[in-house]
Amino acid sequence: MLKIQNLKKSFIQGEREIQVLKGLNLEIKAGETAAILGTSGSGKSTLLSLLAGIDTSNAGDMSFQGVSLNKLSEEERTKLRGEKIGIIFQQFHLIPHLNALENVSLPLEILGRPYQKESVKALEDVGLGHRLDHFPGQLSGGEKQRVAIARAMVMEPELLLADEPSGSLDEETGEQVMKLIFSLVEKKGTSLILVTHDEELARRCSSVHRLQNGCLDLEVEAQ
Amino acid sequence: MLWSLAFKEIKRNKSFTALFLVNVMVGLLGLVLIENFKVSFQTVLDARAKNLLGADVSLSSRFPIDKDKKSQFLKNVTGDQSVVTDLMTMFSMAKSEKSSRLVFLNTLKLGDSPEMTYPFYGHLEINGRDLFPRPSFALPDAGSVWVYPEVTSQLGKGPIKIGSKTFSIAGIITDDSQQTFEMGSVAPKIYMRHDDALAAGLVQKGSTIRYYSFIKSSDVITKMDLEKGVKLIDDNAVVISTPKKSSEQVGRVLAYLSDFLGLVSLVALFLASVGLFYLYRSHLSSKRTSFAIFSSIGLSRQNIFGLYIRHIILLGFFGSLLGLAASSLVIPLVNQFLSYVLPFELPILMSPRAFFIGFLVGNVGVFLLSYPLILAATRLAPASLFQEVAELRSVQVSVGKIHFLPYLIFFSGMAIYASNSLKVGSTFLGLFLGVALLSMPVCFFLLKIAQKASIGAGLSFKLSMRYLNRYRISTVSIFLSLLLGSMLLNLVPMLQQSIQAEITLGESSKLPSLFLFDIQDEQVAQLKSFFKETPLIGLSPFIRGRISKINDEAVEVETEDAMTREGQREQRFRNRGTNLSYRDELTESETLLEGKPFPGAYDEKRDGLPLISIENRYAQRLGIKLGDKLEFSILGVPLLGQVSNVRKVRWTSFIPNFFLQFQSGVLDDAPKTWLASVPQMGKDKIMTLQNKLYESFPNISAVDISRVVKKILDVMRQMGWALKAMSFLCLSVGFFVLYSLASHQMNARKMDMVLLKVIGMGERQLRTMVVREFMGIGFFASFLGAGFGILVSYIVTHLFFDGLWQISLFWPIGSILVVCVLCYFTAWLASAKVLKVKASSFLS
Repeated sequence: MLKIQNLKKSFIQGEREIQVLKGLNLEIKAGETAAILGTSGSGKSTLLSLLAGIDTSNAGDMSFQGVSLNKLSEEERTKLRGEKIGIIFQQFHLIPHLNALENVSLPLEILGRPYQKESVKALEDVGLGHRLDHFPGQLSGGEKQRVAIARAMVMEPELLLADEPSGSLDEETGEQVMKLIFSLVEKKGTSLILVTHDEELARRCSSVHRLQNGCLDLEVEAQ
Repeated sequence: MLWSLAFKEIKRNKSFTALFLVNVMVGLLGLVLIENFKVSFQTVLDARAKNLLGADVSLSSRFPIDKDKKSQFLKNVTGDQSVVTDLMTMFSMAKSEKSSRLVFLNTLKLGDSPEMTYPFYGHLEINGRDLFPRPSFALPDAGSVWVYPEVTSQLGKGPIKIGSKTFSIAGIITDDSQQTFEMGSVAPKIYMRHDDALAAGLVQKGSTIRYYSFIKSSDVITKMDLEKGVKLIDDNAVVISTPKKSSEQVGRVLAYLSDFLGLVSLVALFLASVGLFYLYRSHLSSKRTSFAIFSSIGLSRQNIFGLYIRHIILLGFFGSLLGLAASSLVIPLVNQFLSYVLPFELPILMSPRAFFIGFLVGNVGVFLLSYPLILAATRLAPASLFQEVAELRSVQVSVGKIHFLPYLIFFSGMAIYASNSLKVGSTFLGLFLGVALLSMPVCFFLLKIAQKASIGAGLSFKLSMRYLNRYRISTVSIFLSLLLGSMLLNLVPMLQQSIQAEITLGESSKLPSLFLFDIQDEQVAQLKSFFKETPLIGLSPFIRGRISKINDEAVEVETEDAMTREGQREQRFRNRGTNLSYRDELTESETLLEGKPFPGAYDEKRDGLPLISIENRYAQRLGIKLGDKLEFSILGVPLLGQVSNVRKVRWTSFIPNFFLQFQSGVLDDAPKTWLASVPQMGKDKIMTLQNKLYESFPNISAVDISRVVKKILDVMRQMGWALKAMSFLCLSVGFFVLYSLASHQMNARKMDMVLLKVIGMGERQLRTMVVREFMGIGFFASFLGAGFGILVSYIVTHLFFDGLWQISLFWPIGSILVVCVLCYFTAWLASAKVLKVKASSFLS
């Protein structure tokens, strides 16, 4: 489903060129859950930006369901992302002036699809059916992350990108959130790429990759 | 979906939306009020236009109107069944036992037909009774006159001598529909019989008589009919007046006032724009995360742009509606106030045109100001949402300056529209933008100094200066709005003072006491002898003529309405006769600008064509330059001359002067009267002299210049109050902008303030810090504003007026004090809510 070959990405900082990704390879099959382990500053955020189509690489190829992302225009990548890729952020990133239901409806509204019933169901799936009209400011951290999960899953994406989804939460809440994510991807057959620094969490995925020195090393292969 | 998101953006960001909408409302208020005033005033004039003229159309001239041409006009323009009333007007002196004064005589010549009446529309009320028009009327009895109340207040109710005859006062005119709007009239009216005027010897060669024919038309008169009429009359010394033209003439002073008020209201609009710019920029900066989130869930950049365009359209729409609603509440109050100040009552009407203008400006202005900000915000590279630590910090939106060009063009268009003048509108805009652009680097410079001054200073001073520098855009926005408001508050009174100083009679003033006219040619020697102890100033011949050609091109009477004030002035000057004179030297009130002084009396061999000197502004209005050939018609006799110099005249010297002067030896034999001024003397002396003058020379008219000056000053005072009121409105808008920006900034600094509390800073200390910041801005802004007010008043006085520039320290010092005090209270108010937030909220 996702194939990355020799991906390179660098940034210019002052007069220097900083190579972040130095020829990265990755292959994810449909329904696979993959963890990417890496320390702070290893390039995880850069990789996620590229996977989400928010940024483009300097070299290499990245294809999603046979379509090369580098050949798409910004608008085409945005459209693809809206239809097929869900993203969960460490900082939740909900729109503060929209309530839970409205935040979750957004991806479907953007696609012009029916959204009322679907959004309600998505929130019920994450256990927030009773908090539809509450604003992000009125929710706890765990609840906000669950709204973000519902938003990411509502359009039934092919791929879910999760960037340290429990990173801003306490241990117990974090565990609940992760359980929810894994159960949803299993239920819907969604592929998952989970970026984390937590080794234990990473082992819960079917494959584990380590990002170091700008490249990915496969540690655990998916069965 | 995008509209729905835009509505939600408005509904769910209440404090930003409220501040933004109120800023739009306050910015539009002045503009709508002035536009409404213009329409109200025009409505009154239009409704009373016919009453003002008293007829459907009138013909007037300083020469008797050709009978055949008049018949042709009646036959082809107004219809065979039209009724005509003839009237003569002239200035003369009237004398009672105790004193004398200049009066404006209206001599009525009515026939036997009961339809011949005056006026045809409107009314004359004598002793509280409506006399005209009605079928059977009576003129004043032979030997009696009807007078305006001012005549009796100075001359008493006893008999008065006019010309060589004595008249009794048969009635006091208590209301005259033709007099309602005249401001600054220096000679009260007296109505008398035509035959009495002849018998009193008032109609003499050279008397300042104007001949009128008032016509009640039997047919409807169209514009084409009027154009036909102009061609039939074919004489630009004959003025054809319609009710519309007549009302325009009457309303001219107030039209100029409302033009300037319109310009001042644009300053208020600009100040509000400064506030709106800052608010929206900050709002968009804080929305960067939302932009990134929208992008991450599939909303394209184009659609994000579209969302915020819809957002700003809605804000402009609702803000404009709010502005119109506020205006409709304020209009009745303003109209009531103006009714005390003006000599008539303004109707309380809500002008659709004014509201449309307000609505258009609100929507278009807000859109043009904000769309570059939206463009810049959505052009920013997608922010990385994949951050390990903390949320995205707000990043300031930086905007390409070229995108503000449409707004600048729009604002320039508004300035020209408001002032009805390309010249005035452009100059105003140029001065105003020049000040704004100069102020910004000054502000940045002051911030640098403040930063340096804070090193080693106390904590709250240091923090104040740091915050001023940190929130630079907010600091500059507040600084600019206070500066411009202060500048205006100083500019208007200083201009008024300079003009007043020029024309006020004071002990050291050289202004003459009397201005004499209607001096017959044969009286000059005798008059010189009469004034041998106090010689006359500027004794000048006065010859009537008209310009028939400029550089061999006929000067035609314009009937089309001019678009600008300059165009209207040019038309007036083209459409009327010219007063000519001759003199070989310049007087003390004249300065040569171009060309050479006359070489002496006319010599055909040396000079070729007779040489002409032209006043510079008159030349500009008619497009006449050095070397141009001008042909005149003087009592039907053509005379060609050439412009040999251009001069500047200080008209406020009240010394006789003319737009066009020939060298001597050209017009010496032309029929003429003379003008002169009498040097300044004490009030009692003037009255004695005036009475004696009347006894010896009853035909000579004398204008008491102190009375004229007083009338002008009264009018200026009234206008000055209106302008000052509008300037206060601008300053109020400036303070409102200050409050909006201060509140917004306080909100942004809320957590900083709470943190300072956590680490031990008391509420009082925090308040001192905030107040000091805003008072600092207020002090420097008002100081600089006062400085610019002084500078701009100097420039304007020299560009548009010939007046002496005078400085007064009252307004600069006063405005600085007022601004500082108001800044104190505004800062206190804006920070009150934020300072009440408890330190414990930091821990949740």
